[in-house]
Amino acid sequence: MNQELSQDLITADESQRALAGKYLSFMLQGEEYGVRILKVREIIALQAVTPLPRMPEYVRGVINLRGRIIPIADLRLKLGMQAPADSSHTCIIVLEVEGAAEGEVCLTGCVVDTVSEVLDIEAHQVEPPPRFGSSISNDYILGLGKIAEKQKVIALIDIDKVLSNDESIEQAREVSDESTESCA
Amino acid sequence: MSIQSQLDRLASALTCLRPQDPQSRSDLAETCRDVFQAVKGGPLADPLSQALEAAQRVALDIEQDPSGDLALIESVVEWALEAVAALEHGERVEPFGSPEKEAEEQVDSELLGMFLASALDSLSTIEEYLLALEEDPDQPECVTQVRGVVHSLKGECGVIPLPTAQALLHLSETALDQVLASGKGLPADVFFCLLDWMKAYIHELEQDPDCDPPEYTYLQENIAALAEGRELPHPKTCSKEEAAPPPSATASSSASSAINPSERVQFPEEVLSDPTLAEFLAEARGHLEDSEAALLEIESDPEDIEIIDRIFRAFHTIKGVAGFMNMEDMVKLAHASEALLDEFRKGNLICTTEHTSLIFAACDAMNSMLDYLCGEEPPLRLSIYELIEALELAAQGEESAALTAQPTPPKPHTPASPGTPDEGSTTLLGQYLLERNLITDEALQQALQVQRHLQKTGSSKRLGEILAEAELISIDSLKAALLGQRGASIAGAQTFPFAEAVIESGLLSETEVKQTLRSTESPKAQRKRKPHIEQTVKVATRRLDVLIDMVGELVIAQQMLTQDPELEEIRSQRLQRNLTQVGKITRDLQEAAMSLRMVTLRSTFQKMSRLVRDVSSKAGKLVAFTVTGEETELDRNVVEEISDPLVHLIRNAIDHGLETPEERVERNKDPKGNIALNAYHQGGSIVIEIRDDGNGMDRERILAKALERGLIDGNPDDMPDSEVYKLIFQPGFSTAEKVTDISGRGVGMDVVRRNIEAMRGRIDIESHPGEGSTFYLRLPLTLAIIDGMIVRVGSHRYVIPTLTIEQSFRPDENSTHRVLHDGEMVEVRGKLIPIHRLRDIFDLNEGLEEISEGILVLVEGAGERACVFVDEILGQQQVVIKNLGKALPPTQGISGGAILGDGRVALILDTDALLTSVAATPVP
Repeated sequence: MNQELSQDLITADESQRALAGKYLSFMLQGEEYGVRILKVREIIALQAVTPLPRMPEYVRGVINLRGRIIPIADLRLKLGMQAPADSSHTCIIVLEVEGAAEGEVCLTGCVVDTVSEVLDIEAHQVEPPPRFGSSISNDYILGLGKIAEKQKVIALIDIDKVLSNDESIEQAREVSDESTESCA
Repeated sequence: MSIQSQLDRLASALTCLRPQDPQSRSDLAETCRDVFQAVKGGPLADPLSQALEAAQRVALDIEQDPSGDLALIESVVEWALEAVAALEHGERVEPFGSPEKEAEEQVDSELLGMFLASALDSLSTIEEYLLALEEDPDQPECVTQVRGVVHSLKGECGVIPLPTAQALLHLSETALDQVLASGKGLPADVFFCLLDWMKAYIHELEQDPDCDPPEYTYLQENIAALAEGRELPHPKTCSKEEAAPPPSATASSSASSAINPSERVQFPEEVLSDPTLAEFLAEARGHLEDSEAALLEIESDPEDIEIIDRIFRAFHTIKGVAGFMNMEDMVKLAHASEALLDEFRKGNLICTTEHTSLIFAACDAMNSMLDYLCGEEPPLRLSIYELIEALELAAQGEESAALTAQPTPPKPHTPASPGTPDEGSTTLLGQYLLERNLITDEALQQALQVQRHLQKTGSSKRLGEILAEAELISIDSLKAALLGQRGASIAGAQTFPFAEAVIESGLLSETEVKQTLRSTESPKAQRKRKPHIEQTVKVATRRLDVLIDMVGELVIAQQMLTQDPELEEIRSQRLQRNLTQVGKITRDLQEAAMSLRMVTLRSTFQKMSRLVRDVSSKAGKLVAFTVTGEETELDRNVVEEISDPLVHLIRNAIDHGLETPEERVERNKDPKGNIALNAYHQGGSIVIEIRDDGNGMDRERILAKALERGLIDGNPDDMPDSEVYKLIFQPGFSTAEKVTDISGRGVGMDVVRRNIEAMRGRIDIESHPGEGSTFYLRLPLTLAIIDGMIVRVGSHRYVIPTLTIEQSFRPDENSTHRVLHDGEMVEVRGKLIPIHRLRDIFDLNEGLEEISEGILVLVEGAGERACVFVDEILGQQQVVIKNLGKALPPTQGISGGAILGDGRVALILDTDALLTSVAATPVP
């Protein structure tokens, strides 16, 4: 064990160590994913969402979170999966996402199939993202976490990138910018 | 070496200077000295040596202290190089320093305004530190602070430029260094004197930016002496009496005889409208209260210099501010009191009861003048001047004369009829007793002699005590007399008889009654003050916003609670009552929270006055600018946003609206044009009105220009005036023939419209050719809440801001028309208006199809009118606007979200963007 650990310390490079920590894991279409627990504000039950017109499909709309209006994104649609009908397990993870401006934090809700557990992932359990052509862009994946005792692998996703690096949103933004300019 | 190369050497030394390095500094000083010596012996000694000597002096200063006036050396070198070149060409050389004079004459008015505002703040900061230093001289950090403020003030003076003030402040800085180095106490008088001088100068500059600085040689000499650690050459001039400009002893003594007995104190009109008045009142009241308390202490311990100092400072501060606000009578009174107090401070006089009564009387007179500022009857001027004279006599050590002889003109009042309205004047005890025939003249003289004798031996006794001890008067009548005296001089008619009765019946001692009198007096005074002076607390806006956000959440939570369907099933009167009560409190709380963000328009309007002054002189027009309603309150955000549009509108009014004075005379108008800025409430919103009595708008010219630019087409004849005028808000629209630096590019009005609309406000124009135009800006009270109409399309709910709605109606089938296959129009009062279906705009798959089953809401946006087709109108309510989260891009046609009673979010329509987007993308 000791030997294994010391070897781990040697092989684990800087980026792997940086990824160690607590993750909230959740299910999307039978696959397990994880987000850093520090990003999670709270988990709420699915509630009535007010749809927004002229938005990409994965933007479900907005909800009232104790007096604040926050947008709700469907992570399954966002990551290119099929979204099943909402069930009693479907819930919203409210995340603190980096905003457009430096240091700005905005709340965004993400619809997921179920929330599973909080995992403590150590540096030696982290593997770099795979290099095969997956449907999910590698940019979104920070790495893979191997949980040996449970015999599973979870994908650690970079939620800031998932929710901000978005061509469709960028396009919508450009369109609206243009239109405000044309108004001017 | 030629002079030229010498100077070059100096210039390079200057560029190489590293101010933090002492070696580098002394190098510079050495070079400076060398160059000076070389020039002095050279052929051009006459024109150059003086300036170079100055430069050398400064360089030596810099050697000691890196913050010295490096710029001076630089300018000397620059000038000298030029002068040498000029002399070589046989031209005349202006002596050094003359450009500086010129600069003083061309004071930049914009900069000056900013400087004046901040300088007063700096001065009061210095004053604060000086006062603290006077209390405890052993605070070197205070001196350092003063030095810091003086330094930055000097810097500002240099920018304006005000060379005289700059020089004085520079000198003071050196003096402060000297003080710090020597470790001696700070001679505050010198600096108070400097402050007074600065204030006087600033005051003059406000009146006339080109004025010369007031007389300052004595000041300069004093500070210079201090800087060099010498004795003060003018110790006398340092004390405030002589230094303070307006009040002079002779002037006020002769003044009182010239005063009409019925004349009342009057302050200049501006004083009453001065925005700092409330602050001054609060401050002055505080000072007076403090000095009254101190006076009571003094009565028990007349030699406590510290207490006298306290009173002295209070009067000094009041004098300073009153002087600044041009309240001459108050300044004179404060000055006279100060002079008397100074005698005690110097130890020339011992403070007796008579003195304290005099100062009490002065406090009361001050208070009555403050009451006058609060809107009460002004006090009699004569009484003030009599008091001033009494104070002056007392200060000259002639208290006995003041005691025995009647102080100059006979007083109109007799103590027997205490109702006469002459509060503020005072009667000395001896005089009072004489008047009431309680003692003889001889007895009084005798007692006074005893008192004087006692004073010489260093102890003191009150006149009353002496009289009583000598059994010249009975204790009872003395008490009554004392009370009568005070009653006559301070409390006035009402309190006197009762207090006298109490004392005479022996229920209370004289001092007890005195104290009670004083304490009953102050709450009365406080009651009077309350409506005028408001206590304030400075709070960070961020904290306010948090509070307001939370109140907003509370309102939503409360609405969700009361509208809960499960609650409706409970039929309990008590529950209903309590819920209503909670609702009421929540609404009150919301209102209170909102009012916290409200600020008056005063400062914005003040900026405008300034703008009018500058623009009108630039445009060569005469303008009388009147402002009303500046106390109208608006949300802070709105006030911040309103400034730009107002600037544009007022510039336009002056540049385009008003005619030149010549044209005005031709048209039989006053050559001076009128521009009025007015603000008032109207139906839940604020209206700001900009009215001018100039040309009015030229309908034909606007139409011609609009046709030329293709803004309108067809026959414009039946366009209503108001719509024609609104064309001027189109970007790039300008009828001006030439572009001036004030206006004419057609940018301003577009900015106005956009800013106002961004605040969900609107602009209306009224104009009559030849009579002038009026712009009405209608603004919401706050940006956080709007009045909205809640509409439904299928299962979706939207909020349409009520401000944009003209009307809503159920169309009948015959009035709607389908043109060009899909363009729907409806006829409203004879006009065809396009219909937009929300379900199509937002791609909703629900909602009514048949127009006649739903409701049309006629809205206005982006200068157009259109009907929005919805299923039904659910109601109207105030909603708190929330943004939809920064993670999303702005949605077109949606300005935000509102949380409705059931806790769900409804989207707020942005009619402007909605109508423009519909116009941009034709329905397929």
